Order: sequence, then structure tokens, then C-alpha cells
Amino acid sequence: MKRRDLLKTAAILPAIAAAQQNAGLDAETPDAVADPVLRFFNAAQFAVLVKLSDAILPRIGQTPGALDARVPEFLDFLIGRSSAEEQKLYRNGLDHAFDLAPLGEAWTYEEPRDPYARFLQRAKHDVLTAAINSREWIAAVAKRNPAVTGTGTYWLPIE
Amino acid sequence: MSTPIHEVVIIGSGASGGMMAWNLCRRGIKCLMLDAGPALDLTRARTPRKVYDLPYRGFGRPGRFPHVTQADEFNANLWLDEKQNPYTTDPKDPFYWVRVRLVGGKTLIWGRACWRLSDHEFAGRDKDGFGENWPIRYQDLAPYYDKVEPLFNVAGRNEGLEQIPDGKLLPDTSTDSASVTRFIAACQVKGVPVTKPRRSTGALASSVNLLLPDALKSGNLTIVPNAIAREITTDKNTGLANGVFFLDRHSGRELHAKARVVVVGASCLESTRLLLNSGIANSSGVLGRYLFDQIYVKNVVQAIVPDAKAPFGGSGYIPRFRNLGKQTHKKFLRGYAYDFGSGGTPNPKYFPLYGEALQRKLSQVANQSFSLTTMGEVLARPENRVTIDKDCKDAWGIPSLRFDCRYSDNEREMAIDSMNTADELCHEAGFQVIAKHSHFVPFGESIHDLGTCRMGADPKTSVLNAWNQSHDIRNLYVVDGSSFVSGGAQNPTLSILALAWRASDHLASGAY
Repeated sequence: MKRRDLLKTAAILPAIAAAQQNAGLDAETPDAVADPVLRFFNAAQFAVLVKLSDAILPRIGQTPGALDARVPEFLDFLIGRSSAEEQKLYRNGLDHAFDLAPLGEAWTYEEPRDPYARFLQRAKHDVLTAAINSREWIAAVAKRNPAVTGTGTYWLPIE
Repeated sequence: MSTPIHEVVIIGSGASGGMMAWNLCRRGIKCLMLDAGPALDLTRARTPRKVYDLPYRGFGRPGRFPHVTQADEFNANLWLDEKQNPYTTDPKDPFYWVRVRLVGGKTLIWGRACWRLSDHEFAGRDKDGFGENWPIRYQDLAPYYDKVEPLFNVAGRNEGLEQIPDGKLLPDTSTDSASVTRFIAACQVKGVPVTKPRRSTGALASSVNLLLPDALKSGNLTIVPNAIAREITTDKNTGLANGVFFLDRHSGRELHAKARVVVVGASCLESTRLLLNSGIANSSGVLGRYLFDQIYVKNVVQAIVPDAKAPFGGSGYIPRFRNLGKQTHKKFLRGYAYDFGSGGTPNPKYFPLYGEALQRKLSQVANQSFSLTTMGEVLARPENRVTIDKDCKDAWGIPSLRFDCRYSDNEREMAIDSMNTADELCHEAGFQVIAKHSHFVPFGESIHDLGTCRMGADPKTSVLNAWNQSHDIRNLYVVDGSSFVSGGAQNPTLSILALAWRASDHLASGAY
């Protein structure tokens, strides 16, 4: 290799390394440019999930609610990847006559025996978690509380 | 050409293995350290991420860790993969075997609480007739606690409590929050001792920054990562340990390292598995028996402090207070401790509300949370044990463990008493208790597994002598939590470090 070529290669290598790290390149998240495709719940179940998510965490003033955070779409993905038991709990729960009364029952360590009540408790947890971990919710809350950043220390995969 | 015989081979690099290497290497003894996991560069191994940029929005991949409740989507890659490393249990009696395979072991993620054991543990049988005494007493280990605490920058307060002896601590001069001050006053009324947390401080408090660098600096330590120990070998004529077979984690290639002394510090259960798979050190028949940990009742009582005032936050510790003098409690032996914390907002699950009403409630109770977690002694029983399950092998073909263990009425009664007592203390403080329960987490979840390779004065009823040395094989030391005879309610790492330091002095003196 001629010296001139060597220099050329040396100049290019750091640029490749930087590009591989995505340094300095603007990128966008998929959700900003496209809509999630629903794969798991049927249309009727999804409609109930929308209603339930909105009831558990509605938009309050400037604070986004579950629908702003696209929680139903996210849960369609998450539950679609979950255990058969979890999927059954959700599907049966969404097929059940809509009734939020069991959410007014006092907390007990053991999950409720009634599968519908158990579903509602699970959904309450999942909807709230999916919402407060969303980009929309964190951006809104960070405006009044800078301590909320949504940032954590991520351990990279081990070879 | 054959490789040399190593003076000492140490299997494991966490608290116990790291401590052994730190002392032995600085005293001029050459050590080879094998660890089953990689040596991570912590400046590259971790990176800040936004929770909403994680693939599962913080939930983690469903089903990835059925038995590691500590795993979240940020730290998921840290824990040992359960599919590659299976084990078996009776479905009715689950065991949560929580493992980390990295150089530094679980000291990379430990809770850092540092409480000394006392003669309530070392001589427990003398007090209530249950189980066995340790072959050592507090005074044997005290000089080592005195040295380990400064090395690990342990901060806390000395209060003269006999059940958690005073230490060589960095002073904790912090003031208590208004909520904690009220709670302490209530404890005093009820005659319950209370103190500040006692913790190892610093940005990182691990074998990888406090122990291994000094050992390497001595020039006497060689660390080989990704080396999965399979079997300790012994000399046919002398019966002494003479080396270890290990597999390269990436290729599965097998090697054998020769050694004059073998030190096992691979964690309680991995060390026991290795000895069982090697078919050694078990003339007593108790290897694998007497498995115990500590019961944890998380948020045994959840309260709110209705008129909490700033500054908020603050935490503390209630050491064991039951059955210290005479056996006074009718329903259980030994006792339990609490961690407590204040500030923050209670989990929304505690409120039978949803929608705007729930959000209003959460705003009202912001900074008002007060909760306690019980940590209780589990009695060491021979029937709680691990054995080798030949049909259950890991991804490297090494037989894994079968667990047969369950808690008893002693632990259940203790948990109930801890719930009622925490409830009384909160009421005395004027706090509003919104939830309480007495359900402990599954066996193993505390990651305080102990006792399967226990010490003892009698070789017929114990695996190790008072120096963590095998009764059967004098050049074999087992230095992790498997050597415990009983564990009290105290977090075990400080005692593991002190015992390992003491064992390394014994080894270095040539007494084996």
C-alpha cells in the first residue's frame, strides 16, 4: 500500500467508528414517524382497552394520560409477547362486561380470586407503568419537576 | 510442556474470593483466580438510557427471568441467564436462585448493609437449644470485622447494642427527618432499639475496586475470566486437592490447572455444587444440607405520615429485639430485624382508586410514605438441602442442583409477629397504616443463601473446621456464605469478608 493510500485509510477509519456509534447523527424513533400495528387483541377488545386505559389514567390538565402515551397500543405489543396465562387474563378481562367497581376494593397481598378483579388490578399496574415510562409523560412532568428524567443506567449485553 | 503448579487457585472473585486474593497476594503468595464470567470494564459496560427507549418500555422482556425479581430492563443483562443455567425444585416449593457471573460477582450489585454477627448467632444453641453453635465465637472474628469495615468504608453509628456489635465505622452524623424522629420516639416508648443504617459507602463498593486492584498490584495475582470450574481434582495417593478442571465459557474447551491449595469462593450454592460434582469433602454427609437464608417480608407495613414536614426522606434499622435474653416469645425461636424508610409516594396499588381521584390522592400523599421491611432468621435444618440433579445440566454440560427446601412455622410465626409489631410502632408514632401483610418472598429471593457447607467442631456433623478448611482435605478451603452455621437477620457480606480474611491468614501461615 502506498503511503498516500495509508493516510487516506487512516482518515476514514475514525469516521466509520463514529458512524457506528451513531455519534453526531440525528436519528428519529420509529413511533415518531409511524403507527404501531395492532397484532394481538381483536377490535372489540382493543376498544375496551382504550376505554379502560383512559379511565385508569385520563389526561389531567397539561399532564398526558394513557391515551396520549399510546398505552393501549403498547399493551397490545407487551401482552402479545407475554405468557399464555397473562394473555388469557387480559382477553377474558376485556371480553367481560365493563365494570370498574372492583378497582374500589381494598388492597390485599393475595391477588383477588375473581379473575376479572385480578385483571383490573393487573391492568391498573400496567397502564400506570406504561404511561409514566412514556416519552410523553416524562417530557410533561419534567417541566415542573426536573428530577424526573426517565434516565437509568443500562447494562449492555455481555458477550 | 506442562504449566506450573500454582500455589493457590481461587475459584470465584466476589467478596470471599476477592478478600482471599487481597490478603494472600499482598503477603507474597501467588494466586490464580478463576471466574466463570467476564471481567467488565465498568466505564464501557454501562450507559445512560431513557426508559422509553428500551424495547419493553421498562417492563423487560416477558418471561426472561422467572426467578429474578431484582431484574429490570435496565440491569437485565447483569443476571445469569436462567435457560442456559437451569435447576430443579419441587413445584410446590420454589427456590429463587439469583446469580451473577462477572468478575467481582454480586459485590457489583449488593445492598451494602454491613452488620456484625454476635454471639447470639455464634452460640445460638447455648441460648435456646436449637441447631448447632459455630466453632468460633464473636471474639475470634471481631479483629477481622475491625479490619474489613475500614477497607469497605462502612459508615454508621455505634450504639452499644450487643446484638449488632459496634464497629470501626466512619461516623454518620446526619440528622433525622421529622418522620423518622417521630418513629424513633415511638420505638423508645415500646422499648425497641433503633439505629442508623450501617453501609459500605463510595461510588462503587466492590471486589473490583476495593480488593482485586491491590492484589494485582502485588504482582502475585493472575485472573482468568470466563473459566467455569467443573471439578476439583485430588491426588489418588494423598487424597489432597491438586487442581481444578474448568471450561472456557465461549468455546467449552476444557483445561486443568494444577494447584497446591484450592480455595472455593464461588457463592454458597455454586461452591456446594462444585464440591458435590467433584465427589469430595463429604465424609460427614452434610454437604448440601442445612440450606437457609433470611425471610424478607417486603413492606410488611405501609403507612403514611399524615402531616409529614420537610426535610422528607430518611431511613433506619431496627436490630433483632426478640428472645435476646431468655426465650420469651412463645411461638418462635430467634428473631428478626427491620429496615425502614420514609418519604416518597406509596405505590398506587395501595389505594382503591383510579382516574383523577387516584392522581389527587397520590398528590396528597407525596413525601408521606413510611414503610418497613422485615428480615428474619431462618433456622438451619438438615432437610432443607441441595443435591445434584444429573438430568439437569447447564449449557456446558455440568450437572446442576435440585432444591428441596421449605420454610417452617417458626418463620411464619416470626413474620406475623413482625407485622403486628410494625403496626403497633406506626400507630404509636401517629402514622396511618394503609396496608400490612406477613407474606415472605420465596426461599432464595433475598440472595442471602447460606449454610450448605457448614463449619463445625465435629467432622461428623460439618464440612469445614473453624478456619473454613475442609475436615477431609486439609488443602481445600471454602470461604463464602456456604460456611455459615446460622445467620441471624444480618446481611451476610460483611461476615463473609471477615471470615475469608481470617481463613486467608490461616492459609498464609502454612497451617494447612
